[in-house]
Amino acid sequence: MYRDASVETLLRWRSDRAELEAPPPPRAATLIASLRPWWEREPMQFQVWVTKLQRMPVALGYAMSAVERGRGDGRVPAILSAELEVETYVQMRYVSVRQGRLLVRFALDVDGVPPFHALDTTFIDEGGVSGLFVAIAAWSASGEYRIDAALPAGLASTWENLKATDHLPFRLILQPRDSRAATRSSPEGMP
Amino acid sequence: VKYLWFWNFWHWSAEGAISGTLLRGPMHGIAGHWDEWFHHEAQPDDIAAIAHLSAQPERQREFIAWLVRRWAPNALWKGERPSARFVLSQLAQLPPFDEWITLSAFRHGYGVRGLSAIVLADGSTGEAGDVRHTEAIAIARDSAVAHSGVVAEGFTAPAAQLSTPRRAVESLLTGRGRLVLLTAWFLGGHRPFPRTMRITLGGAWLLVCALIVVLLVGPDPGAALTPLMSLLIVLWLLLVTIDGSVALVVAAQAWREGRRVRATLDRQEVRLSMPGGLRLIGGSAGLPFALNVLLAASRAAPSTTNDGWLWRRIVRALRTHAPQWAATGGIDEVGRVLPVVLEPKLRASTRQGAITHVLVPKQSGASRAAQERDTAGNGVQAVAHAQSAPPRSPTVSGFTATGGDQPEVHTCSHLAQAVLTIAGLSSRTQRIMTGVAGMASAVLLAATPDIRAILAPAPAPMIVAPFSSTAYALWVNLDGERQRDFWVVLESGFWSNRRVMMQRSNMRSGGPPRAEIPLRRTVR
Repeated sequence: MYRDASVETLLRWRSDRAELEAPPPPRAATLIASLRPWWEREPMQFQVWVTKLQRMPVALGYAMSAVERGRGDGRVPAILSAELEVETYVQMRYVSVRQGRLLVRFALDVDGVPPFHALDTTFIDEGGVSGLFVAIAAWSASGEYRIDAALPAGLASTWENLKATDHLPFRLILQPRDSRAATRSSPEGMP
Repeated sequence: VKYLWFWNFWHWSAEGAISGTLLRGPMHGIAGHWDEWFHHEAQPDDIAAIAHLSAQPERQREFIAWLVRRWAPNALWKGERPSARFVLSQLAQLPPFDEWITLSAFRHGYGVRGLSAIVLADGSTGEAGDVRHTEAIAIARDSAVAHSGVVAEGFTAPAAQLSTPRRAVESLLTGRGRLVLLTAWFLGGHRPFPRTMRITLGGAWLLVCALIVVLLVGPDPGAALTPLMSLLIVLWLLLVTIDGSVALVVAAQAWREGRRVRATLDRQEVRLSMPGGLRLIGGSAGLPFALNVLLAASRAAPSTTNDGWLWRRIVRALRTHAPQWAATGGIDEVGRVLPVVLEPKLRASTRQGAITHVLVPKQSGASRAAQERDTAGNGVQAVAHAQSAPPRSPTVSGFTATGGDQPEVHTCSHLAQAVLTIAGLSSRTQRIMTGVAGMASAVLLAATPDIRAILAPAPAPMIVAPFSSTAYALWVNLDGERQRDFWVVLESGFWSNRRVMMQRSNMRSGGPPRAEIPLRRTVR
């Protein structure tokens, strides 16, 4: 490298170096694969979690005198996959569908597990056949997680009147955002 | 309408709960509801009004005062008033209220100081930090979700350790505990009399005792017997009437008030807050928890004009003095206080400094533990009972004690006794007076037949045939009522003033009552 090289020469030199050091561009097949939802890329893991979720009961027995008959208690089975895998329930405290967007607030209370800044939340239909969509649940100061996600076209109309006190037709897989960030690149609210 | 934005929020929250969009009621879910409304639902006008309010502490104070005095009484949810303190403590954690300096008192609690619980940290031998500020607030239960009677905040505990103190309080209000409370108060609790009246009544009871003693062991009063006995009975009846009627009125009021507070508590959920993130092991916090639950219940039940002297005294004392008290002790469902490890806890209370009274279970070694605490902890002398505490002499400190004074240690065996102690209603003088009155009454009741014979004697019995006609036996048969109330005086030229009583043997054999002077020939 000469002291009297022009800036243009220097830039060209740096660009050449960068091209040499850069990893090879991904192949088209890899790019297509990365756009697929994670449950299609990891079907075995997904199936294991779905099986566990299906084993978790959700039916209300109305043994508790204080719960008004006909109102759900907002409980939804969930699997939290953090350092440890925990089968638990989240309590859906706010559910509203407006203009094709799902607005949800839920509480997750697992002994000994501190709150996460954000959770990748995979909605699974009750039958457990497939994942519905993934949304980011952000921790809020009120001690709840909040989701504001666009619903897939088919669901927006089906869930239009969904309320927190209804029987909620989904189950959840929760993963701390950092732990899956490297393996999935789906945009918020989309599979 | 003032603070229209807050009403907008409240109605959005209430309507959401009614429609089912929101799971919880507007009060229980107020934190999440506010977070949602403020960030995603509030209109620009609302946001601007809130920002205007947040800019100045004066306006913040005005809003808080409005919320407590105007909003809370009018914002009913399912017939229940929201608790302003609960609402403020929930909102104080959230933007924009989390930056309001006027809400700093509500950021770590409800702004109500309760009785401290002495809970030892792992491995602690009794440090100042083991005396933990505890507070409780009662809020209306949310029918939308399953509830428990007591919700722990800032710590975790097995459900039984939270529900048992609540049941003990329920017992104190309407169950066996209430009987214990009223009995304990009757036997040794201050009466609702002014001091002069108390002294007068005490003096009158002593006079009753003195009269009894004089009549029992004093000289024969002769003709003064009837006036003395009349004075004694009138005085005793007067005192029993005064004491009895006052006790009945106070007990009836307490009975009614206990039922009213219990009815309120049944509709409430108690939030029990103890910062520190502890996981409680063992039940030694049961007594302070129960006292805080009682305090919360009394706050939730608005006082009435006829809430009764006893409960008014108890509630007022609990509200005023609770911050100076700490307690330790297990508790069962009927309010019995169970023994716990004492020595390190008393040491902790000494080192804490701000606590002036400690409640501990009445257990073997409680006094010894207090004395050991005194000698080892601070070099200051005290004993287990406040009444017998000698003058304090802050001298050499064995530890780095922060407090100058030793807290007074009070022992109790029941929640009712603890309540009376805190309320300052336990009185040694009254216990003595009750004992004196009880003994005097027992003596008078036992002597009822004799008193009746003196004050309302039956007609003198008449001599009926047959009677003795030999020189070897001198007896007469008598007829009439209550012959045993009389002496028979058999007078003749040979004997003088020979008094005899009726013979039971003749009465038992079916014959008439007989009075007899047995004679024995000594010279033939």
